[in-house]
Amino acid sequence: MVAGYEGGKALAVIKYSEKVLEHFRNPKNIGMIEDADGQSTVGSPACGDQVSMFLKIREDRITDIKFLSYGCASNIATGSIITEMAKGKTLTEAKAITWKNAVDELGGLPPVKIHCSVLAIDGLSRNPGL
Amino acid sequence: LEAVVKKMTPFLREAYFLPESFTKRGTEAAEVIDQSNRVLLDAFNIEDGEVVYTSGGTASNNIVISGVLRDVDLREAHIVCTVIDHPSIVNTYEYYRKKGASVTFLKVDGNGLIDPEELRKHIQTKTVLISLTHTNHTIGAIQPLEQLLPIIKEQNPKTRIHIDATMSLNAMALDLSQLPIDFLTFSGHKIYGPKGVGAIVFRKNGPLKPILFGTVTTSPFSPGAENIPGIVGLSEALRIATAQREAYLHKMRPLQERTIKRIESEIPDVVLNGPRPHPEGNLYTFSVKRAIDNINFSFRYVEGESIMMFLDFEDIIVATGSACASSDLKVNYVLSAIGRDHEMAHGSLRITPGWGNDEEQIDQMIDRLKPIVSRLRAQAPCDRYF
Repeated sequence: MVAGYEGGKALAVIKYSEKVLEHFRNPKNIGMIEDADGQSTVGSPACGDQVSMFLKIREDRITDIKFLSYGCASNIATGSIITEMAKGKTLTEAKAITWKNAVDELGGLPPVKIHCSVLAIDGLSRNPGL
Repeated sequence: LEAVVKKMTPFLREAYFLPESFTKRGTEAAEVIDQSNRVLLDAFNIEDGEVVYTSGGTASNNIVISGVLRDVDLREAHIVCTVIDHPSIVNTYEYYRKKGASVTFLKVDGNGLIDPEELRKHIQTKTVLISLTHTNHTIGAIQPLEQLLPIIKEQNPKTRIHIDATMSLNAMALDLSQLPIDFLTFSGHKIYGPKGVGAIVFRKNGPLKPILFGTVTTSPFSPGAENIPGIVGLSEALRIATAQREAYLHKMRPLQERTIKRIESEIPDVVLNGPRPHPEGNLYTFSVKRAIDNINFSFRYVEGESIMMFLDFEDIIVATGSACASSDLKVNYVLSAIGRDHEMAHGSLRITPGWGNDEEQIDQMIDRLKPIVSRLRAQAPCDRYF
């Protein structure tokens, strides 16, 4: 599935899927982990959104993951879905999660909102714990 | 506005004929347009003027700018607008800059206002056109035309003056018998009229050249079949707006005051964008610097689209200048021009009350806004690291 498309039909370019809206309204895993094994901050308010991600790792497996977001609905929803996808995974499995996996899981994103979602994935892929 | 829809609706069927023949039906359509013209000319107090109907403010601005410049040698021409004018002006000026015209994009101060002396410096002997947005669409800054226009005329009486009054007309009268405006443009949907219709009002024999070509019936500047229901709706909306200005002012002032007061006193780390409203501003004088129906705040540590979306869940519609809400990932150019850094523009919200709102709704909006801002701030990493 391509971002911005659902069931082969083009969504209006400015429409968020129900799943994006749900993850934006009630994001999973929002917050911080004080004694994180890996912590990353990507982006900066000076130029746009910012995401921080915290990992707790036991025996090569992500036992807990949390994130904070200074960003829009697309950014928050992607942070929420990616933390859900990574939780309980081995480090190798988590590393293999791509931006496309996350967007597919969200039911697509409007093309103009792709930039904002990539940052959330960077928060995971650039995490030193990974 | 219901009254406008009611007035327009019969004209989806009536006066359907082209107003060019001397038949009963053709004459009927011509009379409808004539009556609308009269309403527009009266509203701007111009005896001997022309009216061109367009598809909106954007088309009006394009037709004026390109129409004035059509037969001008661009290499010899100088044109002036401001950095915060509406995109239908700024982007058109940028096009002519690329085509070889010399263009000045006047800077504005921290409130979005032009410095009169700066303006004086930039009106040259070869300045053929200046376009100014009277009321800014983002921050509600009102340019003091009564002060600025004489300066332009003093510097170069031949410079044509184009004023975009789209955001002004609910609250303010523009008297063309007093102000040396050559072209005035506006649109229907900002005065509770129909969308997709606007107009240009100008003095007879103004130096405008057609840029659209086709069958000319009523105006050489807008050939083709007239949008009769739109024209009727536009003139009715302007007639009502003119008649109800006092009432609009009385209705909007407490809403604006309350919104600004409550946000500033109840939400920390906020900045008002644009001029502070005059405490007792009389909109019939030009001492007022801010539109009565515009409120624009920046909320530090929060991204604007997120606030906008949460308010939307509550059926409260606002706008944001956040980069996340634009297709080119740039923050709002007006907020940048008044010196807001990326972060402050990113967290901006434009709130524009109207006839349909009351004090209770303003209170509801702010009561909902407060937890939204707190929650998003708690979710953000910013205050922890900056």
